[in-house]
Amino acid sequence: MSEATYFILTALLDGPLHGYGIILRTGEQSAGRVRIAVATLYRTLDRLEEGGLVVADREEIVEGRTRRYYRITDDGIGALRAEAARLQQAVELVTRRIAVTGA
Amino acid sequence: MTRRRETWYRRLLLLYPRGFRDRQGEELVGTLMLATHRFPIRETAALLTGAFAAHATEARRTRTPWWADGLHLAVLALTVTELAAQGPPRSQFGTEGAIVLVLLLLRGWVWPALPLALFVFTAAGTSSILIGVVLACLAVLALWPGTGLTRRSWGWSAIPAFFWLPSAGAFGLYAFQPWALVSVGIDALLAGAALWATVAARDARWALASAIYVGTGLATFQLEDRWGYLPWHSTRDFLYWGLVTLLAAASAVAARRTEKVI
Repeated sequence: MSEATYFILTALLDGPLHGYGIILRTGEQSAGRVRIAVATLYRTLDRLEEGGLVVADREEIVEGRTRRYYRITDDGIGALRAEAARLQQAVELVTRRIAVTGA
Repeated sequence: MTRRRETWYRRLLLLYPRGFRDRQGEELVGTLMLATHRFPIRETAALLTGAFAAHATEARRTRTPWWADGLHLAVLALTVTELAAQGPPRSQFGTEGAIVLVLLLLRGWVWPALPLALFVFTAAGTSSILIGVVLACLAVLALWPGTGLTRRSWGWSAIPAFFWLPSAGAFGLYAFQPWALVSVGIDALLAGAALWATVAARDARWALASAIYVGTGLATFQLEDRWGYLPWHSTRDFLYWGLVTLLAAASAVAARRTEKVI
């Protein structure tokens, strides 16, 4: 899973968000480290929607512009959980070795 | 400034495939207007690179099987670069035939392209290996049920059109400078674009096209003493073939590695 996908899906765990909301949330969650470009965000959302990992939840009009809210699906949560478990294993591998060798 | 910024974004959005624009275009512009305030160099770069990736990804949404799309891309790349290399055919109806052939391939009309490709390439004195590969690919596409090819960008026709200009030089590794660099650059660009598209779309269609394109070129170079230079392998040959073979191999590896990446 790419880093952008990981953070976008993570941002949606607390509930549906629109595009700009996802950008703000990923910035907060990564302490400003991850700044997803808008074009990258929508290409990723397009792909995730095609794969059934997110769905459009609702739309609202704000200052004449449409805002679409995206919601993570059960498949999306499953994919994110699998990726988190993989990352956790990778982290444990290193931390356990460091604890043993004292490096 | 706000209006100019929005106009700028909307112009860049025209580079994206229509399907993507219909699904995401308005949302994307709206979010860009919220997320940016100054002249957006970073977002402009992301929009430009994203446009190419979006075209690559959009191909996956068609009903055409990936391998059929790969064969179609390979035939198109071989045809336009060969016609660029040969220049306008001197035989009767050769030029008209070549133009119609490119149009048929761009539209994905395989059956009429099959005999016309044989006529055009035979008249142009094309290598038998390249003719064989093009005809074999077209025959598979014509005979295999349900391949339903998609239309290709008109941009492909710019390659032979450019090299047919009276001021242009020859397209080929042994052309004289600086045209050799231009032709080598186009080959490397095609192979590099195939690698990038493979990573973006996460399937093997461009890798297949790249492998057929480079493989045909290598086979022609090795097996046919077309230019009478075969005994003479210069550093330039090895650099050129090494680069394009590396790019084709990288596309194949990328297709395999990115297939399951979400």
